[in-house]
Amino acid sequence: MWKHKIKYFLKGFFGSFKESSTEFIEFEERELENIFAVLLMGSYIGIPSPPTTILIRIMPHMVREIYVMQRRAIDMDDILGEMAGLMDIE
Amino acid sequence: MINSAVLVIIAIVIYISLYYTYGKSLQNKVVKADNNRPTPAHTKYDGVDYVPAHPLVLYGHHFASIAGAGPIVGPALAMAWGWLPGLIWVWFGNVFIGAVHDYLSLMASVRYDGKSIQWVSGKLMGRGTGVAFQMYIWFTLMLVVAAFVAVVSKLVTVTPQAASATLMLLVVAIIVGFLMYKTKLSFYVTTGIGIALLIFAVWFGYTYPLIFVPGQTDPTSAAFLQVYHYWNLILWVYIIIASALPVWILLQPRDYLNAYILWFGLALGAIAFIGLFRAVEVPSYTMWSANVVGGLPSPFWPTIPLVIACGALSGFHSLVGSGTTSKQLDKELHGLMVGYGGMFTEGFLATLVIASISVYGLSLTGLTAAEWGTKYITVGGLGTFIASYAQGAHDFFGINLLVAKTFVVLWVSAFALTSLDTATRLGRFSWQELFGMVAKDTSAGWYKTITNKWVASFIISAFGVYLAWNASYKVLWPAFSGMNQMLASIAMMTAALWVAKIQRAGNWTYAVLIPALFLWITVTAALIWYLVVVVPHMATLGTQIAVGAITLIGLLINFVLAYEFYVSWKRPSEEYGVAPS
Repeated sequence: MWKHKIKYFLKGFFGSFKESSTEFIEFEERELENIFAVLLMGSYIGIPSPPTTILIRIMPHMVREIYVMQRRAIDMDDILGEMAGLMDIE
Repeated sequence: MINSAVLVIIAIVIYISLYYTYGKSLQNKVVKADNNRPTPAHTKYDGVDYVPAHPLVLYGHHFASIAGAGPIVGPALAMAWGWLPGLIWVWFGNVFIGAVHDYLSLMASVRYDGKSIQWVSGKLMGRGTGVAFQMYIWFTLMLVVAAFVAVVSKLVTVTPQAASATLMLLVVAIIVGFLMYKTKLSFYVTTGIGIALLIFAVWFGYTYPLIFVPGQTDPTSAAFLQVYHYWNLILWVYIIIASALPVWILLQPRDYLNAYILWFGLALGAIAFIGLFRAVEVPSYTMWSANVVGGLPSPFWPTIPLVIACGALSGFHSLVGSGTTSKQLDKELHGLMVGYGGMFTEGFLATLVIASISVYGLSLTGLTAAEWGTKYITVGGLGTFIASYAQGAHDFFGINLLVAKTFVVLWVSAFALTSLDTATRLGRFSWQELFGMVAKDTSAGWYKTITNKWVASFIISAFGVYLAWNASYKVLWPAFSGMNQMLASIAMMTAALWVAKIQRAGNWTYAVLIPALFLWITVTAALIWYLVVVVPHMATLGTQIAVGAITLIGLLINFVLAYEFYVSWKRPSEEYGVAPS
């Protein structure tokens, strides 16, 4: 039991170090993903590229991205929380 | 006889016992945490932003996010009142205000689908202050830049070994970043190389100190001021470049290495100061109005939150806690360890700072107990903590004094540099956001120019460096702390409303309402005092105007928010409905 608890503790403790090696990269990747989605879905907001036919073909592969984009668009009313939360600051 | 071990052990006992009593009561009676209520990490799971995390991962990550140079600088300055007043503020401020603030910010955010506490504040109190709040954030970030440029410039000027070590750390971070993200080397091998290179950076600094002008290490000399200004300029260039680089090159790997420095520093200090059993030599209490803020006589109340911010309570934690942590909380019962416990660990770091100065302060500064209250601020401060910690590591572990000193300065400056980098990035976003809110036409040329990445970075860093150029961190730190504490009081008021109107916690509402009101009154009084007493004594008219205007804006927003809080409090609970989830 104790062996399991110590193992669990160490896993979490060192996991937190690992987490701190990726947090900002996740933030940047997220932003790149946003840009990518806007490029693909641009025709929704009046950016005429890429052609709509290509977009329609890509769409089935973008289901998850569409959900994430939709939620992020809703979250834009909390921009301060978005910014501050992602760029941890002390 | 009080000694270092007693102070550290009392802190541990207070924190553990109150975690299991007061903390658990907050969890059960105020938050009413329930593992059966799914958290946003599950209800909104998307594999990207909303992902449940192991509680210890979240705790370590949250602590690494909130811990920085803050809990070191403030307590080191507050020692002028003696060790006891600062310690009481750290312990009780931490348990009854700071940790409550962090925990409730986190849990309110969890109940509102991971929205930030400022969003919840808008929901509960109204949204009339959007632009003003954005301005307030920008000014606060500018003060962060000013305070940390001043701190780092001073530290690396008086400790040239740390100057080389800090620059070497930048190189090490770039190497580690390259190895970690651009090669196929395993994570653990890269980590091993990173830690070895960290040790190398300390050795390098120790062996090759970076001295610009002989005699620069004496803070009263002209050479010091000259080199201090060199460092202001170096840091200015650094801020602009570092905040524009992709995060993987410098920011991310240095943040990763910082986590090791932080935990190693904490463990080393805790073992040394418990093991040393060295008697406290600094007076427990000097006088009510010791010379602290700007070197002027400062009444302990209300000025203490201007000195000790992080370590007792910090408004920034509400942003960190409610921004990311709440989106990753696996179960509601984990919140206490992450939010409440994370803040205790920071209080423990502040305790270590106070304990180390308490046992070495007199011998290292050469002051007598009688003159401690009036003269400590001129000869002591952050430098005394660095010397005391190094002395403790030397006396207990036998580590070379200069090596230990180089390590501690590296610790503080590494965190300060990360804060500088992120504050500039955030300040840039905030600037762009602010002009997006006020501009009628965002396609206009002037809008594009003023919100350009380089222009936005230049403006915030130029203001910050200008302030640091003309004023010591001992003057700028309290201005930054005051703004930070005001943010905390806003978050606490929001939490009080949430507890009273949504949670309907009965008498337990007072556990939040009383600290919230106490904090608001204290910070407001302290900022008015700062504006009237300290600002007129600043060295240049430009600094007086800049810091005075920022403080005044902060105060005005403070009154607007207090009024909104009062109006909201008067509304009956039935009008609020219930929180989602």
